[in-house]
Amino acid sequence: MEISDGETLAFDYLVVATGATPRLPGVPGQDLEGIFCLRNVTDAIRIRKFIDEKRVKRAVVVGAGLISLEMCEAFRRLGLETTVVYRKDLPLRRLGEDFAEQILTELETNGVAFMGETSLEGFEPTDTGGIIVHSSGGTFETDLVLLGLGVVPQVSLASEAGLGIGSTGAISVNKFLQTNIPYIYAAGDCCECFHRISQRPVYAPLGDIANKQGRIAGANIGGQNLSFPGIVGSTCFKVFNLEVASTGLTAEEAREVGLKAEAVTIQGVSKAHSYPGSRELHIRLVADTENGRLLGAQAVGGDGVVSRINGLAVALTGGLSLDELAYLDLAYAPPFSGAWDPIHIAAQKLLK
Amino acid sequence: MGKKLVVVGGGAGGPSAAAKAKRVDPELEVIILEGGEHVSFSA
Ligand SMILES: Cc1cc2nc3c(=O)[nH]c(=O)nc-3n(C[C@H](O)[C@H](O)[C@H](O)COP(=O)(O)OP(=O)(O)OC[C@H]3O[C@@H](n4cnc5c(N)ncnc54)[C@H](O)[C@@H]3O)c2cc1C
Ligand SMILES: Cc1cc2nc3c(=O)[nH]c(=O)nc-3n(C[C@H](O)[C@H](O)[C@H](O)COP(=O)(O)OP(=O)(O)OC[C@H]3O[C@@H](n4cnc5c(N)ncnc54)[C@H](O)[C@@H]3O)c2cc1C
Repeated sequence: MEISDGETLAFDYLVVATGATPRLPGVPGQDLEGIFCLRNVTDAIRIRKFIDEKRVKRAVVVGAGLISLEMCEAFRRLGLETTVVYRKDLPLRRLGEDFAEQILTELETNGVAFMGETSLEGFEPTDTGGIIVHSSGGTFETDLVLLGLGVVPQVSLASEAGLGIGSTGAISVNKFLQTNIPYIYAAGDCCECFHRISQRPVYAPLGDIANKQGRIAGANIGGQNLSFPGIVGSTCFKVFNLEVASTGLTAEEAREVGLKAEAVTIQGVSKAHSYPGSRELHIRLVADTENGRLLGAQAVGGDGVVSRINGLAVALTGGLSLDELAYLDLAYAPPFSGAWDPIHIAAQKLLK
Repeated sequence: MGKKLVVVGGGAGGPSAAAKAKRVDPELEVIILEGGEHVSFSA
């Protein structure tokens, strides 16, 4: 292998852990000063320095994924006027219109302006150091732009080395994290992983997965024989006072992979009704109509969202059915749930 | 002499692999290459 000072480096084993790079919109002016992506600590420091030094008052966030929405919160905390420009009508559309509406309300309640169904057309500098944003929703001025359009796997080195690239565009690996060249392994955001529910390779660029894949690749290089069992597709994030999490497939995704799926949505509470601080919690379960097996779950609410989704991630991994979920022995005490947890309530409703 | 492992990328996946490989096989020579300024910020 050749490294940047022109030297070559010999190896017995190689791990490709080159991560991912932010997707760019490909519009004129995208490289102007004041337009940022957020990928690493260096980016974060640059953004913060720019805000402080230029006394930034206004920010535009392009995109409405996890990083975009987390940055909306960060910008609002710094007192910036914050506007989201997004191609689709609602943020996190994948979770369904009702849940996406709640996320939108949370953004708006916290002073974020949301421009949905708006496509970005380009940027231009102003004489006073500002940035003009051109979009299908009009032209306006801002001080800072954050591009949060997702990431693409960094596979240039891998392609040059002849490593196999999968259907998702990321490096394809076997369960031991080996590429098509057995002494070359890959781990993290540069490679795909196996989705246990859809039974397909997927691209899931997440930090917890990168850590697990890395550790398993390392163990195998060291002489152990570990395999990565794949993922069920769990994610979570927080936007202002709303927690959002999901695991497995949505009903739509289940149908796309040929499963017969039905879903039910319930509104429950995060703690016992009578307990102070109990918040609304909305949970959707998706199950296979043919055998009652759980296929996925999505939830939004003020509190207790991630513990429910983590429980359901275990249920998905174990292949539990709705019958089992309906009477599952979940721990109960009023500070944490009702005697009937939202999981039980949803499972029983879907069984009817 | 032990075998040599080269890891490209010092984010989350790279250092995880490097550390585990070295723990399992202390004889292994391990090198991490990182193009950026910070290592293991996401691990
Ligand atoms: C302080 C406290 C905190 C608790 N916290 C939790 C918790 O966080 N989570 C949890 O899972 N559980 C908790 N529990 C336990 C939970 O309250 C009990 O498991 C639950 O009340 C049992 O319900 P039960 O109907 O079987 O019995 P009980 O609620 O005891 O009801 C039995 C009823 O039968 C009546 N009775 C008895 N004999 C007769 C008779 N011969 N004729 C007519 N009536 C009769 C009694 O007067 C009583 O009202 C707690 C209990 C206490 C005391
Ligand atoms: C703002 C933000 C918030 C996030 N929040 C979460 C979260 O809450 N939960 C979650 O699960 N995930 C989260 N993630 C995603 C998580 O950070 C990534 O999944 C994780 O960093 C992936 O680790 P990695 O090692 O595969 O890649 P990276 O962390 O990207 O590391 C790859 C490294 O390789 C280096 N590199 C690439 N090519 C070369 C080369 N040719 N030579 C030398 N070095 C090279 C890069 O400089 C980089 O440092 C977040 C990401 C961001 C940006």
